[in-house]
Amino acid sequence: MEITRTDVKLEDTWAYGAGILHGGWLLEQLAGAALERTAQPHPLVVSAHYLAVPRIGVATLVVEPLREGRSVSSLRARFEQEGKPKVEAIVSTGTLPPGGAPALVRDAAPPVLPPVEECLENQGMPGFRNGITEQLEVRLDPATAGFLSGTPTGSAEVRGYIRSRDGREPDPLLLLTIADALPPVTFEMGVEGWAPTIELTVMLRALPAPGWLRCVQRARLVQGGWLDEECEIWDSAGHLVAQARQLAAYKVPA
Amino acid sequence: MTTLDIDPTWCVGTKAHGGYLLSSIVGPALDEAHPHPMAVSAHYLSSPDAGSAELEIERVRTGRRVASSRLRLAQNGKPCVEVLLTAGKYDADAEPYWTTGEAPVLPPVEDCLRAEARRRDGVTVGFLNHVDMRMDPETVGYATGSPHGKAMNQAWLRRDDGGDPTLLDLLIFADSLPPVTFDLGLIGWVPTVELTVLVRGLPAPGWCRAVQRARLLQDGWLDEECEVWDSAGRLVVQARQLAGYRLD
Repeated sequence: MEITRTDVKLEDTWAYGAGILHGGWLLEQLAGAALERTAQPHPLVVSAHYLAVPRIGVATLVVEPLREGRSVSSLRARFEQEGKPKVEAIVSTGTLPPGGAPALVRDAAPPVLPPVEECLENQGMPGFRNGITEQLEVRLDPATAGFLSGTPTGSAEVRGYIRSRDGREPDPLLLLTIADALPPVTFEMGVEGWAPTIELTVMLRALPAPGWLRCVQRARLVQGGWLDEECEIWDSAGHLVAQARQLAAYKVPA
Repeated sequence: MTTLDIDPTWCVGTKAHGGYLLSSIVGPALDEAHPHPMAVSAHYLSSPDAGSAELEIERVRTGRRVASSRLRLAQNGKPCVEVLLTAGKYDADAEPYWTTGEAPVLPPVEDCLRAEARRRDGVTVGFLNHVDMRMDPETVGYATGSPHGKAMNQAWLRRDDGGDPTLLDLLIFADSLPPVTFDLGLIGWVPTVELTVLVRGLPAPGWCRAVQRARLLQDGWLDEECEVWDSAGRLVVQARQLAGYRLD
């Protein structure tokens, strides 16, 4: 099937600091472009490997349909600049059920959070621009947000509410952005520095209801410069709508 | 483009085992500077038969710490498995800085039940000739018509030749336990749509322990999480797949 190459402008709207584009937002763009090349309506599972941070400016979005199936269709998608791949993804698409569809097993419960108004807004650090928190309202459970006031609790879990500031209600593509929108658990562990994503896979499980999303992010093993971060997203109706996991790097404290 | 000869002795019925395929695809993409697969994401498009298949390996970035590759297995021109691999080099002496969870608790190996390659319905589960898998008896009730109903199972795993586990073996182990749907009494085929394996460290010699669970089985789709722990009680694999199931 035909490979399409489209030049797109990467704006700095979703960038941190000096132009580091947000990984979740990049994934949403790749999956959105893939969806345009298939008859399936939703992303089911999206895997991305982050090779290098794309620059702000023009990038080529490459989409390669691989297989169009009855229930699942798969595609490759990537961003290139100067002919070099920056983010590579494989996108499998299909039809998501509504939240609360008949289930055989539901072995999970949404995170218990204080009311939204008691949660702390993640406004980023002074003097450091954060495009994510400019675009998304991220309200953290005070119990896991010690780092905001310089006193991390040492927990490897961060949880909170997230919604779009522009009034966009949750949809499967927005969930891809949100799957990487909580601050790294390393902040709350007291490990300094950025935790760049190496690989991120997001499984979408149901269509999200309107309203605030509840997200919880945890690490299981932080070892030798590498950590896993699992992020679950629950909608306002209390349904699990996305399960994400990433492998990220961190700087081993001296 | 290289040729991968899919070994019929690894097949389940006529179809190649998913973990065996992943291991066979990833192996040739590793090099001396990046010998350890760290993150492997695979989307399974169609299931190849035993015999010749085409393996395409394209290195897309070689960095200081990690190298990434785009891998593709096709048969007769039809895409079968699409993979992204990031590989690097793990420090054998790395100690956990922070960890949660513990290795699964299993009865002793000799009290567990070896999963047989010859199934009672006559289908050969070939990979079980290569992988010595000893299931926790409590989680194999499905075989005698009384599944324990928790959507989980666990087992001891090692190479059938008794050799110590390699990182490529871990990719096989990550997809070796029976589907958790069996534990619910659903015996149908559970095709993997996507499988991501995070290899977290180098495994110690000896038996590995694996535990597999699902959180949500809804509308024909389930997630299966498989953790593999080595004989030293270290978490060495975190794998998760999205798979399909049917009620009939």
